[in-house]
Amino acid sequence: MEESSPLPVSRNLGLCIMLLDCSGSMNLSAFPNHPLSKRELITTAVTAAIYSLTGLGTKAFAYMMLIGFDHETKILLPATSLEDIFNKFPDHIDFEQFLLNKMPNRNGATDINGALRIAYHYTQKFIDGDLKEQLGDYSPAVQSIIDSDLNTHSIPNVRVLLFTDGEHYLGDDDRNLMPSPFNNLSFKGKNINLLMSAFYGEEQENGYAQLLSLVSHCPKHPGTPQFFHYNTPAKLPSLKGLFRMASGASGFCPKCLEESHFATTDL
Amino acid sequence: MQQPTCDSMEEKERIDDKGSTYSLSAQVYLAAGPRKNISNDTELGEDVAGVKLVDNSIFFWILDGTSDSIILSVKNDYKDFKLEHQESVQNDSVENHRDEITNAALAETCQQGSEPNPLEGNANSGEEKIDVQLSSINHSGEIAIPETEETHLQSEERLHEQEEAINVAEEVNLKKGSEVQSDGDTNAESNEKSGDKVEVIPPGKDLKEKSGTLINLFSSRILAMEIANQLMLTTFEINKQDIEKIIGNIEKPLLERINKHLHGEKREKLIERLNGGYQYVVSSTMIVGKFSLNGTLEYIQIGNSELSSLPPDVETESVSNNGQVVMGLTYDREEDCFRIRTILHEENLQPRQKFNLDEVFIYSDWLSSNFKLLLKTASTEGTEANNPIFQYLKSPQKTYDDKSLIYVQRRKVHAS
Repeated sequence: MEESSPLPVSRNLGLCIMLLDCSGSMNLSAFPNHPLSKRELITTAVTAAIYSLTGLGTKAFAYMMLIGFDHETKILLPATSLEDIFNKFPDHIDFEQFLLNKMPNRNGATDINGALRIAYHYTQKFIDGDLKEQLGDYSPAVQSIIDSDLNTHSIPNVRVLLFTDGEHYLGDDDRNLMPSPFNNLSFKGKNINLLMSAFYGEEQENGYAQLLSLVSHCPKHPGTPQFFHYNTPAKLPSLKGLFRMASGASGFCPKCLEESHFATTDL
Repeated sequence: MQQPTCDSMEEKERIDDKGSTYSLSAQVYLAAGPRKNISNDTELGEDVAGVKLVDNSIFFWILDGTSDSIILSVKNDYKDFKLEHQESVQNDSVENHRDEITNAALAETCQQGSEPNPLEGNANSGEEKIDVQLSSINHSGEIAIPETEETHLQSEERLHEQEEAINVAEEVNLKKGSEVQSDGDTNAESNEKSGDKVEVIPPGKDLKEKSGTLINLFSSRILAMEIANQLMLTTFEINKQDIEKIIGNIEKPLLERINKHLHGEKREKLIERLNGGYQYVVSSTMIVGKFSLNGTLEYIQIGNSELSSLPPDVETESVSNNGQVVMGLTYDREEDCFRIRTILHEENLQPRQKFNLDEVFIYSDWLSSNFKLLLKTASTEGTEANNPIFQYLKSPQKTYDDKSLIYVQRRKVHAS
């Protein structure tokens, strides 16, 4: 028989926000002659990443928020605990279908600036503990990060991942990417940039340079941007790893991702 | 919900100047947290808690290794496996431990600038004895010998293999003559990536002959246990110099452990990774202190393990920035050897003191804020049934983490 606690147990929550490009170009094939569209590909990868966390002991405290954007921004999944996701969608296929149905599918443009603004607003409110109406009584979970000089920093257990295959484009008069609002993200008076970006396309495309200009550098691996590039099918297996890393708030950059592959294995 | 268990108790009595008799006792409660992620179950039990009795004081410590940091591990080859099995059998006393430690100088270990330890009773820890989860001294003063990690891992793996073997044997009966292999690791995903396959030995075959035991060489758990082991074996006081020295003393045995097990291609692979900018960094929080029969408490707090007292005079704050003992593995190209870089921040090493206390609670980061709140208004007097502190400790905590708590009490037994 369980006894009840005489004091409320504090809820320290983690949050991952994924910003998923749903513009028209995402309907194209993932690769030449590939049966899957880019939209289907990332939906599968996001779903696989989320469902790889079914064994997480802290499912009730790990929150996921999915935002889709074309020329408008749409909340695909409001901040929801992994526990609630798994309860509502015991079968990952159902979640994948739910996501596909929710994504705008209308050959829209690409408003990266707007999507980032909304994600930033939500992230800062979460960190400040100002989402109690939606999430109940909580505090943001805090994790320690050791930088390359072996100094320890406390940061909130939050990651934001932007995934796109293009550049900011709302018409010929609006195609400039603004500086990332995440440069202003603060926790206990200190700036900390928790935005990671992933670009799906070729290096010579405008979107590649645009997205690269957004990101800051990994606190653990000096000189390594918090940026991921997908341009060949060979890189696809790591896509799930990227989404999983973001979901589990366990890294920042490609080196973090590689380290996670050998973090617990024999040399 | 896993309930904490009582693992250790010490008691000492003294007569004060007014003729009152006091006793000093300590209990250690430990519970291994649930697996944070079953598919990536790496370091369950990285909390280390210990107490020891020295003269009129109880020394205590809690270390909490960072659970999601990288682990340098290697599968043992047959030769090492056999050697370690023999060593684990031989290591049946503290004196044996110390003899082996003395003889543990390894040719491959590069000099880390280690100096003879001026602290009385210090033993330079060898890899066979670093894995103390709980150092305990019983009423007769005998020191309980901890199980080494290798023997623990081996026995766990053997059990697992036995189970696997039975399952596989049944399968073999169905598929007569077929050659069977199976993953022996719970981390199937990792195995898939690394391509490792563990051969399953049919029931009846001597599993001691089996090689392939996974050994953790450098991890946050190893760090926490190594420091705890030094605290257990070393005579020290609660001051900056002694604590710095204890932490510094573990670099050499850690390097010995790495050098002993890493050879050839695996050593080259590690060098390649370190040169490629990958970080092998481990860390642990640490709170260490001393509570005396005269009611004086001294402690040093590095990180978010905290301490509370009755009367409630002690108010610790969780140390966040730089609140850890951090060690990073590096490769010295010129000397062709590995080195360990240790980071300790001066501001976290300042000892603090409080007087005339009766009870002290030392705990890892699982119950801090609520528990401190409770201590301001409650006491441990009365029976357990109506005491809010023990009621709280017995209730489900649901923090999904390892939990450690040391309770030290000074009690007036009677006045003459």
